[in-house]
Amino acid sequence: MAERFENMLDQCLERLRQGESLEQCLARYPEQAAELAPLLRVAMASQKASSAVKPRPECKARARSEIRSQLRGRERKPEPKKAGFAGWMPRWAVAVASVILIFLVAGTGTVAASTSSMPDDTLYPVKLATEQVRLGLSRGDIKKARVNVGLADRRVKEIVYLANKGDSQRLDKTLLRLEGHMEDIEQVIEANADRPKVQEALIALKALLEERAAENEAAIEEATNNTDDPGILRRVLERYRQRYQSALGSGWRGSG
Amino acid sequence: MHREEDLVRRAQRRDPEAFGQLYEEHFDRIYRYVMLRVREQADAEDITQQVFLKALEKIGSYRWRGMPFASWLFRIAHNLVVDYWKKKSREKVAAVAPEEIDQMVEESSNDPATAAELNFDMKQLAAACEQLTDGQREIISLRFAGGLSVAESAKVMGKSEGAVKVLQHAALVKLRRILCPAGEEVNG
Repeated sequence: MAERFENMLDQCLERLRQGESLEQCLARYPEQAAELAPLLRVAMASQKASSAVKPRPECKARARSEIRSQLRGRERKPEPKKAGFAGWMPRWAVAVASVILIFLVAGTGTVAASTSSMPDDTLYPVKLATEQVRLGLSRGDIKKARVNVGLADRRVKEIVYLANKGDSQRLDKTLLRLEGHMEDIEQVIEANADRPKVQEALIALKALLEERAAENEAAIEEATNNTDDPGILRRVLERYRQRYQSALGSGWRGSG
Repeated sequence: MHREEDLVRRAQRRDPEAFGQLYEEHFDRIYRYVMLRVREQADAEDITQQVFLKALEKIGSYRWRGMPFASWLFRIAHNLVVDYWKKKSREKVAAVAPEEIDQMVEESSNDPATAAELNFDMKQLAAACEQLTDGQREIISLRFAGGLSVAESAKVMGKSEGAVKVLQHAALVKLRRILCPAGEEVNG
């Protein structure tokens, strides 16, 4: 008899867990209902009290970051640091050399004019070269990533322009460049996810990326509605979304 | 079950996304279980983090045979809680006095909004659990904070399902006595 009661109690608990009401449960065991009811109420109240308790988001984030760091520690071997743009020179020398180079090759007016050029303009290669200089002069990964966010905006504008002109060949090349910027941003986010000192800057970078992604998405969607061949821009939008969502991460591929 | 089995296998191969999904699915329930056992938020957070770090370290040795993954995780949590109390027992820990519990329950039952049903919070539940035996406290924590089934709880505790049901019954009877003293029973 005693054991049967324990079984009944447990069956009722299981039914309550599956969404059955207390009254429905008790109706199944009318003879034991008076004994079951107070115990089931205590169980329900215990469950309710427990479920109201939640870990603080910062606690979960800290644990996640620690685990990710452990996972990386086991998988990653240290990579030799890439010698970037004129990596052997002091940074101030790179700056001076770059400015002199730009003056000599193109002149300031040309550089300024190239900023608004589009991929089918003669000055477009100057625009791309200037961007590389800007990236080279940016100190630190996160600043570089912020520059890349701005460059991605430019690529989106160019893509919209090329879609309006129906220039799919240049559009494909520009899309590849856009994906390159997004990939660089993602790598920076992933590489810095476990560095406590840069978390604030990383959060700001992600916020900027999110904000810009929303505007760029809206711009591509609007252009999709105004073009004769919306298929190309839909493909661009899909790939852009994949890239920035991947960069922002789900929490386990690099974001905090 | 197949999905979780697949996740665990991938996590055993150090797939961060798979381990991440296991973490997301189990973190909150492990935390609630630990919170009910240790009562201190900061300690509960630390222990919950340690549970997952330990799980990451040991996941290669986990085998499906015999123990559901949730039971395996809760077993780690249980061991860490036991270690925690061993360390704490060297310090002086102030136990909750029975009068204090009575006062907390009285305050709660005076609230007209909650008078229609039995109502108490985690603090009160944890304080009441202090009056239970180790086994009773464990089954309440596993079942109602951790959300484990009787079968899963039995694996964590190394007992038969029948023994766990007996323990659950005894724990609920005692909790009822503590939280609803005679004559103050609330009938919903």
